[in-house]
Amino acid sequence: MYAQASNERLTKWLMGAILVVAYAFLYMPIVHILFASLSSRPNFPYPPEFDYGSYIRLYTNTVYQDAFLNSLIIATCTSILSTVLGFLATVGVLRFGGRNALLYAAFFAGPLFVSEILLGISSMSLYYLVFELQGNMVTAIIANSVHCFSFCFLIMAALLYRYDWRMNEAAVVCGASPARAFYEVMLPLTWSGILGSLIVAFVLSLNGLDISFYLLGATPTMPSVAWGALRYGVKPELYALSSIINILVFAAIAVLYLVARSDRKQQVE
Amino acid sequence: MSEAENRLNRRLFLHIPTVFLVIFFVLPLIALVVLSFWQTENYKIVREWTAMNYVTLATEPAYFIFFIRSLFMAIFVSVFSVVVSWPIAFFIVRYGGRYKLILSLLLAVPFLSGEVLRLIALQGMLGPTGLVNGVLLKLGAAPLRFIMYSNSATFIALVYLYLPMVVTTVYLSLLNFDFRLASAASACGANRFRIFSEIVWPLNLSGTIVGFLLCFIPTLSAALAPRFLGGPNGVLYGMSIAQQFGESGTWALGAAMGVVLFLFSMLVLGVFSLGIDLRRTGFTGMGRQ
Amino acid sequence: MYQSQNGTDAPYIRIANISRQYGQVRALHDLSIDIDKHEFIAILGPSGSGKSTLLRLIAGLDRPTAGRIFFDGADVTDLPPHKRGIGMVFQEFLLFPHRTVRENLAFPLRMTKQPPKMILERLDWAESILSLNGLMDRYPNQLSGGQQQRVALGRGLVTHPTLLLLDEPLANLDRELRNEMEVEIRRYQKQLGIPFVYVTHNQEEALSMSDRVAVINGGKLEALGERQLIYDHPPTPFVARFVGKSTRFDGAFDAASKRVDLQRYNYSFPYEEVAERKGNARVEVFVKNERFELLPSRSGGAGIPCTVADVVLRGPFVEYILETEADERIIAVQPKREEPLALGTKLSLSWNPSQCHVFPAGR
Repeated sequence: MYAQASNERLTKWLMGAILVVAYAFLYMPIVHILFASLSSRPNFPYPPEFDYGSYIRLYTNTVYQDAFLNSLIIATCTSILSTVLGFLATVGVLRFGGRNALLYAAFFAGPLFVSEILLGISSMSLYYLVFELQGNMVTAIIANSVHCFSFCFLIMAALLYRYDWRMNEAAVVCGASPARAFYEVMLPLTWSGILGSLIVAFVLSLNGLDISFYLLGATPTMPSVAWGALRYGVKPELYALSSIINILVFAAIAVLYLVARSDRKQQVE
Repeated sequence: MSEAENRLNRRLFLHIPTVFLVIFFVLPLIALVVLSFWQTENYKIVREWTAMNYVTLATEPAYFIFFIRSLFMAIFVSVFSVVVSWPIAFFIVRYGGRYKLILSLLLAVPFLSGEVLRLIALQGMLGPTGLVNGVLLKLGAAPLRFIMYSNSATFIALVYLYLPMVVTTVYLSLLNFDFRLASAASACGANRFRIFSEIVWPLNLSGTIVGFLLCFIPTLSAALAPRFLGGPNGVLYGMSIAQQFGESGTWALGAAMGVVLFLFSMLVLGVFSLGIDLRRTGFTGMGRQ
Repeated sequence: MYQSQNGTDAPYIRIANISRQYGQVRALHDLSIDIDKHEFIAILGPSGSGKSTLLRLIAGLDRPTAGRIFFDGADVTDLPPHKRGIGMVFQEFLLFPHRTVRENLAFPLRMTKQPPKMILERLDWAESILSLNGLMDRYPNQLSGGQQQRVALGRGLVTHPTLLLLDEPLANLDRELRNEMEVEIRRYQKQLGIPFVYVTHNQEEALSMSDRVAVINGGKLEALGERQLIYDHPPTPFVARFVGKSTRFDGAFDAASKRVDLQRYNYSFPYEEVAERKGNARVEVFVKNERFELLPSRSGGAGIPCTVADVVLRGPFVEYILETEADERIIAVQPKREEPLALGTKLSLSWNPSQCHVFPAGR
């Protein structure tokens, strides 16, 4: 009995150690480049010696500004489009799927199992090579939406799976019109999933390179400019850009955390 | 709801996303197949049906080497990630307590910051002037060669890129696993090894396989990481595709490579999904009526 | 055949020749029920009988493939649920978890655009009639099952709807609470004077609360009538089996001697009318468990010899599990006496012929 208990403690300790190493592995580069971007000696910024030069250079560089604006437009449109489609798909599979629910779910999750580069080159083949269209933002948004759609579908399906659809019926027999039932009952109970989907799609398409790269041609986006700059060696500006994005992502995750926590509180109490 | 209304709802909720995917996901893949049977000459497409691209792929040993290299890389990265993911996910679910949510969301931060930015961060760690070698130089030691521009560097980068995804998938699977079943098995007299091998592992197998595939498929077609971190012997298949579509302008050949990659991915997917009996993994179905 | 006497004027709620088909599956077939204004009607049927479909059709959550539904003379068949002015209580209560009790109760009033003064009035009314004092500002998940049940009832009743539909509302409560709520629900119905349509698969609930019972089986109306009538004179073998607890025997009717002979036992009893069958006809005999007569076996009278195999005490009643010579087990319910019969006692089982139900053996 005692031997087993100590054995279990050893396993727990070991798993905890692996977790700590893994998180350190994942976060060390992020933290390192944050320091590097703030230092006048980016290669080995320890002990830190603060210098904001790289941020100022980044801010005054118009190439980055244009690229960032383009990325912002793509990310905003993509997140809205893929969340709307993902919501339709989720409701469709969970409510109207019937016997084919699993089939539809597999199809909707499909783009997840086709790598981004394949999505990029296949969309490029269709638009430019077969139809001979010019590269533009619309095709980039659509191709990004295909990729993000699957994430949105899975996030919302995971949250709406627990939703009792007869809540809507309960509202309707109370005299609420279907639109009112959605607004008063379904939306307040599922908004965390919808918001989560919006945020994830936004961030994914903001930072994704492959898909936009093949569909935009000469139009710069934030990751493609970063990739271009990378070929000529890493510069402190890139560290600065990277750190800014990391902080934005971190803020988005913090929002998700607060949402999920308030959501759970409501369920527990 | 009447039949007509129900049909309208189905059309609205199921058919709109389906049509979207068919036009913008399936159709491009078909276009890729079409393109792979055409030719490219001097950055122009020649619309004549030919299987030349596939002949080139089959006869030119370089492409075969790229593919095998990618395959081994993908297998190593995915297996390693799954092996590491289990203890992490298990620890979070069992001992995470009220930090469960924070720990699981923290996995998403590196995942969401995108491939390019993460590679930049990783370069800051592993590159010739990066942190690791910087520390070693300060200590007076020789820099580690194997983490600079080599297959090992690519391996580390790919694990770095896809580990969060695998951990998250296994975590979600374990989160939905009812650990009272383990207690029940224990009450039936199973020891810890038997509990794991007969209850916990099979009931989370499908989640684990999904995690494996979500790592395997993108690593198989990885293009950015090897290009940036891999050495002269580090050309991978995905990177070669990117070159056909980029600098060399041999789109048709690249399309043929893409078709091969897609078919192989589907084959792997098919083998895995046929290999699992969903009922034996505790799957109870989708959707509630 | 068992329809109660409606007056000359049109019924308050009329369900006329309703059918509902899902693809090839017939959930309801040509079903008609009229409901009076002050009536508590129970729809009783096994699971899959179509009783919940009927309720959803009345609520407007589903549309019939054929037939019409009238509320107070007006055809509502094509009206969506939110325009029908009904109340409904669900089995899982379905209270809105993000709204307090007060907000849940006010929801139907807001949806029907009642003036604020009226809303406050009705909330007070609901609070007092359902004894929800002190619970109005809690969230549903802070309430016990019984309290949630009362809020669900309140949400169905605050608007004083045309009728209240109840879909097995007591199925998720424990037995004691259930008995308590049965009395409560019947009291609200009498106080409000609106029809309640109560769907259940539990025949005890149906009999304890309703005025009339409609028995549904396989999408068809098996019987409709006063609860006492349904219990004492089941019109079909299905109703005899489903309402009350009965034991079934196979027998044969001899038209010449006007007697029913049981097939597996040496027991017969006189019987007058077995419908429209001449000569020897096979019949099914149903005897309610509490209508068996138990006599000591040495008394010599005609009966089925059996032995007491087990005794189950149920408060004021005793259930005797009896074993017959044909190795069948029969349950006989008797009022509790000072000293229940001992295990192994030999008995002779018989019944009053006018208290059993004989049907020609069909399917």
